[in-house]
Amino acid sequence: MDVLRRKALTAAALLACTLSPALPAPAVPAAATGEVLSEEDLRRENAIKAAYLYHFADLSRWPESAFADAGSPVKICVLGPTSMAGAVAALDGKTAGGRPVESRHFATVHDLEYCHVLYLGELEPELRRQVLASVAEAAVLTAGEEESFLRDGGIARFFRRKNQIALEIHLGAARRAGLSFDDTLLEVGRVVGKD
Amino acid sequence: MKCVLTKLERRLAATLLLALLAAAGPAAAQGEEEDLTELSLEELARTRVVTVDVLGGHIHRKGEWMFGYRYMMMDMDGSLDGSQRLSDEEVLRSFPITPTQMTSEMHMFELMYGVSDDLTVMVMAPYFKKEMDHLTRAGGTFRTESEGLGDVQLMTHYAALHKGPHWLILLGSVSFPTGSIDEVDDTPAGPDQLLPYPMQLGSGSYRLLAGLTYLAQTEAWNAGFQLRGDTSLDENDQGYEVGDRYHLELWAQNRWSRAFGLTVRLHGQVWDEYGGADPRLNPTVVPTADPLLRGGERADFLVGLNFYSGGHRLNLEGGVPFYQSLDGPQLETRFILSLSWQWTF
Repeated sequence: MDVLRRKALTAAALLACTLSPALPAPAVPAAATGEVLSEEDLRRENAIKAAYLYHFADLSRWPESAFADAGSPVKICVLGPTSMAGAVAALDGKTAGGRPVESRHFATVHDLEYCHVLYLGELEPELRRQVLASVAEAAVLTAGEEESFLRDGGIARFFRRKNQIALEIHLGAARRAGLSFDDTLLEVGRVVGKD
Repeated sequence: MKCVLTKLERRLAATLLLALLAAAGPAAAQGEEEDLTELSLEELARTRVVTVDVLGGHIHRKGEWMFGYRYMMMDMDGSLDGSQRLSDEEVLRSFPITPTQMTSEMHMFELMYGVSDDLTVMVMAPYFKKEMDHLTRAGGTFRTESEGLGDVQLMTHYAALHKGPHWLILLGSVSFPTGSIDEVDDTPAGPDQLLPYPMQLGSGSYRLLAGLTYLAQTEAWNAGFQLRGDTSLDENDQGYEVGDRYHLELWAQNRWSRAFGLTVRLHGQVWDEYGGADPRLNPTVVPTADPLLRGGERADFLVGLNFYSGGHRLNLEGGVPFYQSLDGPQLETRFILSLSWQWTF
């Protein structure tokens, strides 16, 4: 066996590895739809978003009128078809902001003012806009994922960034709903629309 | 040596495995939801969605376990000297016995654990079953077999750099001499004769492996390359050491949907002849007993299908060499098949 040839092959491969960070990446389309996530990864994504919803309930401040009394639960709701329902249901029984967490999954639009946090699932765009308009003046922290979610009146939007779930918060929409946030929430989320 | 599992038992085991997959997949998919509410907001924002897949291994998330089983079969047939094929008659001019065919089967059991989001440790335990057919100068034929545990390996994957979809991952491992280097079988020379080097199950030495992986991963694509090499730390009890081996792999993996994906892989490897020699073997009898006829280089093209269900992944891969040059005479690899199942929990 030609030892020199082997050493040359090895050296070439090592050089390629060393230079790799400087090389252009293979053409990898930035899939962001979640359509090809494995079930395992989808469960992880849902668990991350459900944990964000829990932190919303823990670190947001609602008007006093939003709760019947000091011991009333903080209600986290899901509306429409979504794989998130199970992850949100798992929040039941936790405590957020000193209140018990209660989750609900609505298949159709009704009693949305019952909710303190409302995650919108896969709704038709027109229906989504109607729902957001109907709760715009209520003390409901709306969350969703569509690119136009904040433009349509939503308060918090999840989006994929570098294999992680990032957050955008529309502060103006939150103020109109009578909501305010702990600073730690605003430090993690990207704040947009202060007016 | 006797095979522990009959063909029927193997088929039954395969059927059971598939049944387990079919039953456990949906169960896992509907299983308990993961609770991440204990994470701070900063930790949540850093939590990865898609598991980083490194050639069948992974960078697991902190606290995540994975159990894997891999079956691999390699078929070797005929002899090569360099890249040139040699007939049995040509080999028999130099040696009284030549190997004509070999099948090596491996059952690999793997356990991985995510120590942190960047560091995964892994234990791999291979179980080998090998068969080799021979032809003697007198025209006689015989078969030898060996079977048992190979060298157990402890490996780490460390994500040293991560920027967007780009990852630079360091590999390190040590393998322990748990595989036998004293396998014997009946041959025309007598009962319980020591088998030659490729029929042994382990290296007899502690071996170190180091490697580097670059990959780019998105939801749908995973592409990259890995360079790794391993070497013996010392000679084994019989005074020889298995040669150093270097691998370069390039791959691209596309996920068509949540359930299916395709992998294309190029695997190049270069390995050195053995250092020293086992004094119990006579290198003039058969080429496989000559430690200087153990080196070579080979490049394989492999295509794999991946099936995903819940925390389960099933991979079926097959490949053929498109380049081989061996310090011959040495048996030529014809094809490689593997079936693996991994379960993350």
